[in-house]
Amino acid sequence: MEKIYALASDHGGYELKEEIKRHFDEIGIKYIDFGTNSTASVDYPEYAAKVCRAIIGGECGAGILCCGTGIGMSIAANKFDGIRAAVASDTFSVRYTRMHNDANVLCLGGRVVGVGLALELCDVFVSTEFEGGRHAKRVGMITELESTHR
Amino acid sequence: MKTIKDKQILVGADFAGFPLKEAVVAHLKRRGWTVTDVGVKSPDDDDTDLMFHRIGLRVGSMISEGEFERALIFCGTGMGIHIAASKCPHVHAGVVESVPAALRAITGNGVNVLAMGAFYVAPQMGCDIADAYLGAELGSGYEWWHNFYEFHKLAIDELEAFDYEEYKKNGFKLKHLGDYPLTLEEKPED
Repeated sequence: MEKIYALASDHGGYELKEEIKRHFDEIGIKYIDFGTNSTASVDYPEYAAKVCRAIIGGECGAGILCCGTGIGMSIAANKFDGIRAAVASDTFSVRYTRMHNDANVLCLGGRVVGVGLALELCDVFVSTEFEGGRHAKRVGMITELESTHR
Repeated sequence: MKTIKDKQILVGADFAGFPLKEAVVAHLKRRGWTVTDVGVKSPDDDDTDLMFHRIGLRVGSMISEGEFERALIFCGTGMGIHIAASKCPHVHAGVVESVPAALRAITGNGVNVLAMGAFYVAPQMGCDIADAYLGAELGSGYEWWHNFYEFHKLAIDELEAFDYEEYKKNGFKLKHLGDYPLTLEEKPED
């Protein structure tokens, strides 16, 4: 079944999120936009939480979070059990974080990467599968570190 | 010559590089820089003289003629425009996507025409890159590295003196203008 992507941003990542939506419309990727809806200043942890809850609850299969650098969003998102969020600015890292870490949230910096590159990062994120195999063991070990298991 | 010391910079962008150029120029102007822009004046400027490589050549020529000490150029990737600029004499052009690369481009390689790509570099990152590049000069920050300046200056001098026909006539062996040991140095503990 096709994944539905949960998208969100703060004001720093707003323009980038809008570009990603335009791009996803063009290439037929399904998404839900959890905001924000303007460049007015908002707090990124709130928007990270919306995306993470949508993934944990099953409404969405994965997510993309945008802020100024992507890092604030990744720190907030990784507090959630079941979420493996990765900030990236090159396609090699995005490919390997999907293949080996089964990253389910991609975090991007609207103030760091140009839109052209960001869209390529999204393309790799949505089209790369988790390899499983020996990597499943390590993802399992990450799950063991989560709050419900500690 | 309009110099960095006098906060004079030459810029140029094609339609693809225009948004990044606008952000960097606005930032530099706020910091007191005088900017001379020979690229497109708007994103739908259709003057065919302002195709990316033609802007690169024009900017390069203004460096060759000694009108400006350095330039910042922009296209979609930064690649095409800087390749063009580098065809002009005395131009040492480079393209970067990060602050460390921009810094090393000037401190190590004396890059006098720095390019960035709007597809790859976000506006705020572009401003950081411009600040790092314009705030340094050959050798700066590497005073702890014995001969860093001389080693890199040697390469620049040999590239400036390079004549392809002479090189070919000499059996593709370059006449050295000096020599230094080819080793990396470790930054000493403070």
